[in-house]
Amino acid sequence: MSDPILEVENLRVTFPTHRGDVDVVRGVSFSLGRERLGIVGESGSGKSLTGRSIMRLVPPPGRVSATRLALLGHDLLKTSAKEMTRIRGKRIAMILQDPKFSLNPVMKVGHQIEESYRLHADADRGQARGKAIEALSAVRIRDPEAVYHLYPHQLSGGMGQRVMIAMMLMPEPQVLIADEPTSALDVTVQLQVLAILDDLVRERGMSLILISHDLGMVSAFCDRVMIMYAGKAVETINARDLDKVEHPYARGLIASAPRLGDDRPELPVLQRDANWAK
Amino acid sequence: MTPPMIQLDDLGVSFGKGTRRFDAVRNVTLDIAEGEAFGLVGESGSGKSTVLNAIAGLIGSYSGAIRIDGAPAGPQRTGAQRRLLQMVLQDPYGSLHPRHTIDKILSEPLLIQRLDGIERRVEHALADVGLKPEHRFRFPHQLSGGQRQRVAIARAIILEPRILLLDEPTSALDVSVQAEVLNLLRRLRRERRFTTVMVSHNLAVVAYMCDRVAVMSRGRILETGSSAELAKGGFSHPYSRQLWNASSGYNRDLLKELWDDA
Repeated sequence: MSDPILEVENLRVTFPTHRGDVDVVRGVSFSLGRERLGIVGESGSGKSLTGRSIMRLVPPPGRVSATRLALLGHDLLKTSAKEMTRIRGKRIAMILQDPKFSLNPVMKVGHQIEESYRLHADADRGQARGKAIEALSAVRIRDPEAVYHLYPHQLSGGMGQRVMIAMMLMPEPQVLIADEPTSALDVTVQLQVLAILDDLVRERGMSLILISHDLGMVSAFCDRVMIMYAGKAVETINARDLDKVEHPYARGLIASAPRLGDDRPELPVLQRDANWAK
Repeated sequence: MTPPMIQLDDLGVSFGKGTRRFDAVRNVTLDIAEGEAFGLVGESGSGKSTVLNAIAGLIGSYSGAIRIDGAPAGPQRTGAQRRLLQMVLQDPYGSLHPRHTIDKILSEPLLIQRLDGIERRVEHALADVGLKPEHRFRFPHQLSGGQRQRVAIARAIILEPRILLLDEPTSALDVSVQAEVLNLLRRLRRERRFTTVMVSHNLAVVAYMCDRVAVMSRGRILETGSSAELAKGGFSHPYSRQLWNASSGYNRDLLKELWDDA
């Protein structure tokens, strides 16, 4: 295997509470090459905070610690906040769940995409404009010239998410972290957004971390899947071996979702074991 | 022959006026029999929730006619008509009053309907949905998402309605919790023989929960058929097929037809 692009070893995220410190992510380790890695877990499993720690975007008073957190050999934990702003966007980018909350509501989307380009590249407005329109067509927006002049509230959910992707990809990052990028979208639109991510990952040789609660979607899309439970990575498997998954939590999760053509009289309910969280 | 429990005759709902008029629901005609579990699927904006709201009497003006239990049901409903039909909404965080205890949330519909034996009914309703007596004097924020949805279901069934309207009852929940709520709804339906109308964008959930399913797009019903037919991909309208394909997982081969339609 080639050198890993991202190395995470023994990652912990801690929040102080009035009852003492609570570890929300508890010793997660993984490495990421040029691949699509899925992180799956239920609400509160620590999957989003794992993604945010890599971006160094865990909100205070949360604390991040790790034995190693490195991007292309560069230690992210020793990076200053100022330097981090240059790495964010340029080297690692993040797409969040709902474009309604992540786009600036009072700025034309074209200008927002330009801004993300001009922050990282030395370009004048004309060049940036050309790049923005190019980026919009790369995410398969039919009439990029027209969409350039729209405000976020004039976009549909799927289009908004595509604009977000266009914006994140402008500085050509090496790693893209997508946190539930499609859960606010309809199934058919979801498929379109995934296909765009898929193409971009292939064409540009990017690495992708896809964070989601949807085990089925993630395993159909990614190369590897890491399953998280109560702040720990309980199992990592190749996506095509999903039916061979061993951890009882993952097995329970697969069994509890109704499938098309399901004739089970009752859905098996996940029986949680206190040992899983240990 | 007994008349259908819910009858929609050429239902149309539109919002706005003149050039800004938007037809959310167009020419929907539907009969739902007593005790039947009926599902409405479609994407956002297809009008499925609007149909549900119209049945519930939450839409002030519409064209066409709605009959419930054989009697015309306009936008103005009597107390008895309201009691006949209860609704469970998607978001258990938003649909419970944050400053009322579970006890108050459950007793309020009983007080409005001037029913007696509130104490006993509240206890029963909690037990029916699998909540413990100690949950009764808690506030919604002290419960988990799944427990809150159980409270919302308890509030709906406490009036012993004959129709239960479910608007995406599990889409805000984790998969493992979804299974618990779906099992609960199926058990209640078996025991009480409700007529249910369920709206969801998840085909697998609708097929699992309902006898008959209608596919909606742009305000119209494209196709109606049995759940078994839906599950095996037997629906013929191109849009239903697309929805079915997309629900079967990520598959690149499908994308060509989707882009052409986008």
